[in-house]
Amino acid sequence: MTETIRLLQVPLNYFRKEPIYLIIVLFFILELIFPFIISNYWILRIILFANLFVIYATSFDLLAGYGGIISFGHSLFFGGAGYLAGLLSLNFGLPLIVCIITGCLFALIVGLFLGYICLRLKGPYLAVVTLICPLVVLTLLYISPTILGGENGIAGFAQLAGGSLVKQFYIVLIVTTISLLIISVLAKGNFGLILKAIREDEIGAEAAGINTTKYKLMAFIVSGFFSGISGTLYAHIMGSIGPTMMSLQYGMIPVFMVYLGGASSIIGPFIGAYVVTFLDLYLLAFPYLRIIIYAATIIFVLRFFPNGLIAVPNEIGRLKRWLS
Amino acid sequence: MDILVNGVLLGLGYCLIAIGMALILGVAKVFDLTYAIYYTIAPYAALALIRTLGPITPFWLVFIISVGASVAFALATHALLIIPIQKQHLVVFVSTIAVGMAVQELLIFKAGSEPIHLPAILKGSSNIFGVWVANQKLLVGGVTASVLAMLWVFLSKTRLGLAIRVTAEQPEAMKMAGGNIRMIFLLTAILAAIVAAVGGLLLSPIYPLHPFDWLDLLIIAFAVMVLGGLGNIWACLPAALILGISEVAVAIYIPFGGIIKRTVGLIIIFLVLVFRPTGLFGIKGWEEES
Amino acid sequence: MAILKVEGLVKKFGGLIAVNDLSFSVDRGKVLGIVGPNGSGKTTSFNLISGFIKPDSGKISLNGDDITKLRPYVIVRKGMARTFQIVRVFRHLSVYENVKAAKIFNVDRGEDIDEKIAEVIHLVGLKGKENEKAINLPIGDLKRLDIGRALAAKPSVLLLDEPFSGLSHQEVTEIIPLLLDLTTKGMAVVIVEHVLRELKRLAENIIVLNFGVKIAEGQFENVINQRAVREAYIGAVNNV
Repeated sequence: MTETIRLLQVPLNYFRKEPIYLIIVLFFILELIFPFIISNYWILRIILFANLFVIYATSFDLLAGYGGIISFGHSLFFGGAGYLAGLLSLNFGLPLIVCIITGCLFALIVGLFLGYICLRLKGPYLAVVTLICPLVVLTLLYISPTILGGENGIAGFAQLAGGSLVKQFYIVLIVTTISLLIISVLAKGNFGLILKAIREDEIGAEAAGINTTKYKLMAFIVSGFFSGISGTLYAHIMGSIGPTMMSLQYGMIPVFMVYLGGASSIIGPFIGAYVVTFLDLYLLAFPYLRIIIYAATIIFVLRFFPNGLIAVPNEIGRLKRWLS
Repeated sequence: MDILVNGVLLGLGYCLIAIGMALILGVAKVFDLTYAIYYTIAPYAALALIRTLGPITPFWLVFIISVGASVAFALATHALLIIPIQKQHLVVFVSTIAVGMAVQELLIFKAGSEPIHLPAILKGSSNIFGVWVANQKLLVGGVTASVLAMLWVFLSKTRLGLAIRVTAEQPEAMKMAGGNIRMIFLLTAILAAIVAAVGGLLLSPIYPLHPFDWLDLLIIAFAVMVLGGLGNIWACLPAALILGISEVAVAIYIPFGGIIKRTVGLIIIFLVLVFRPTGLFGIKGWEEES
Repeated sequence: MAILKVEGLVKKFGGLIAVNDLSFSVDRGKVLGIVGPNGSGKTTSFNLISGFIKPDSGKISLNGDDITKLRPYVIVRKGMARTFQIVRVFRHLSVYENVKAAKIFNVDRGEDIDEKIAEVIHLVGLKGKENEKAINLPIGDLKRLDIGRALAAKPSVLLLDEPFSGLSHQEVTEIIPLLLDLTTKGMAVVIVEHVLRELKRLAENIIVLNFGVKIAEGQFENVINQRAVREAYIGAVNNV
């Protein structure tokens, strides 16, 4: 109990020290007026999805950037929660809010299991195990076309806010803002510091009195939970669920977004999510080139800008100094 | 008996697939996920060649050029992408996945997502221990055996093979002795690509190849490598046989077996890494080196 | 009164006996040195005592509590902290963050954590470098940071694993008063060291290990002159 209190303790000048909160609040206020100033239906929808992916990417960053646990199977949370929510809605007609919460709780529990499995794994081994977990579940989908929708997925269940784009936009905006605030408090505070310590040197962290097992599990649970939120909302906005939600592609999405924007920050995944979502909009015109461009981009970024876009100003500064 | 024969033959094919990747992992200590692309490129190249040059092209020419295409791709990937960032395992992991996804899309773009079929080299079937098997499968088994034998001879009896083994165990020692490690890594990549390409060319007549199969191939290679034990390429053979036999057994005995087959590999990877990371014959402490 | 008591510690790795029936105790405010040639089981003993590996048999007591089977982080919170032969610091974090990470679970109600962190940083002589990233620090400062991380846990027993290796005589001279001062406040210190000349300035008593067995124990001068000890060291570095 006292440990939990310690986690949330913040010094008095905390909010002044961390600009991120101001940024989140500004973001919220700015986007509040979007439905009024943006008349283009599609652009509004894109921003809505960008916000959803902000939650997805940021939750991934908590585990990967702060905790150093890079899982390639976050689509398990995203798709798993989405599928559960969609199935509950379709088969039992439960109210949306119940479906969504159940989906998120499911993601949370899955996070616990996956975290437990991954406790003793490191680096590439962790990457491989996390990568294959959603694939195993996917096989389950393929063999039960009637119940779970098989290859084609399921459509036709209740949509968020009865399909009204504006209402959906505001719901997602509120959820995104709250999620960002919660994740920021965790990441910028003691919890984030503990995760970073574990990332830097797990044995050293243990020698510093940190219960590494507990915090690694907590990181998985929190990360899974928020990925689940974005997955369930995604499912209910699309009105359909399909195997792609649990594919490698959707598992790589947060990886791309976080490393493009800059890991171990809140603003990095945020930028990454927006950039990728908007980039995707333009690349939809070139279906095959799309993935090639993503691939080339991530390779380029990892090679030359390992700290992501947010570090670009520093890199440019360094380059200028080097040139002069 | 049916299971045994088919399982063994399948396992031999899997061994061929896995051993190249095990080589790269053992020597360069990286997970090169584009490896499955080396397998994929050869049959597509072969098909393209046959289509442009006509069906009377001598098969050995097509063979050599297709293998060459894989080798060229492997060299490019390793020289440009992997070797510069060799020490950063996760970056290599992500980058090679990215390349794989890109090539997959390229292939779908150019050749569609319908599976391709190469004409078999050995037609017809023979009766082995009372089971009828396609001759092509026997060819695969034979080729795998010879490849393994040649590899063994190369690695243990030649100077170059010795150089590779030294680099695998003690790269620093190799560097100090004046060896060119980069060349060794590239050479390993070439070997791996040749093995993969040969595997692709021989196996695609039996198992139609889709552009997105590279992921499945990786899973097979991984399952074999981890089961056998990372760092020990010869362990690929028994591991591959186990995988092959299990898959055939599952396909026959378990409902939906055809689809679940791939899960066998996944489950093996999962169980091994979680409960016995060194695999069956793995070298302990290998992970600490990397 | 012994604050740390080790009884009958045994650890085997396969067929090799790394630690063979090791027993010793340390009183409050005392410094004990553990010496011995390479491979004599010194670091293994530390790992056993601090909970990073589990002994095959034996008992470890801290202030009367049995800590043999506890996880390392619990042992730290109970008051025994350690440093590492190859320093373990959080490289991409600042000095401040390094100490804070260790302080979070070791600060008492009512204490101001920033104050306590500043105290530790000042104590190990890193004042003014709070915002430096650990990765930029020279080895001497890294050793100080390692000790700082251990001290942040307010230990009653401090285990130092080769604290002087890699340090110049000057740097060691600067650290010794810090350690002696801590002992006057009741902290017990156990030091594994090779650099016997420097160790002599700190440890009144030492125990000598060879092949996992304690072959000598007692006051520094007496022990060093024992025949068994000199024999154990022949072939190894002898820099007394």
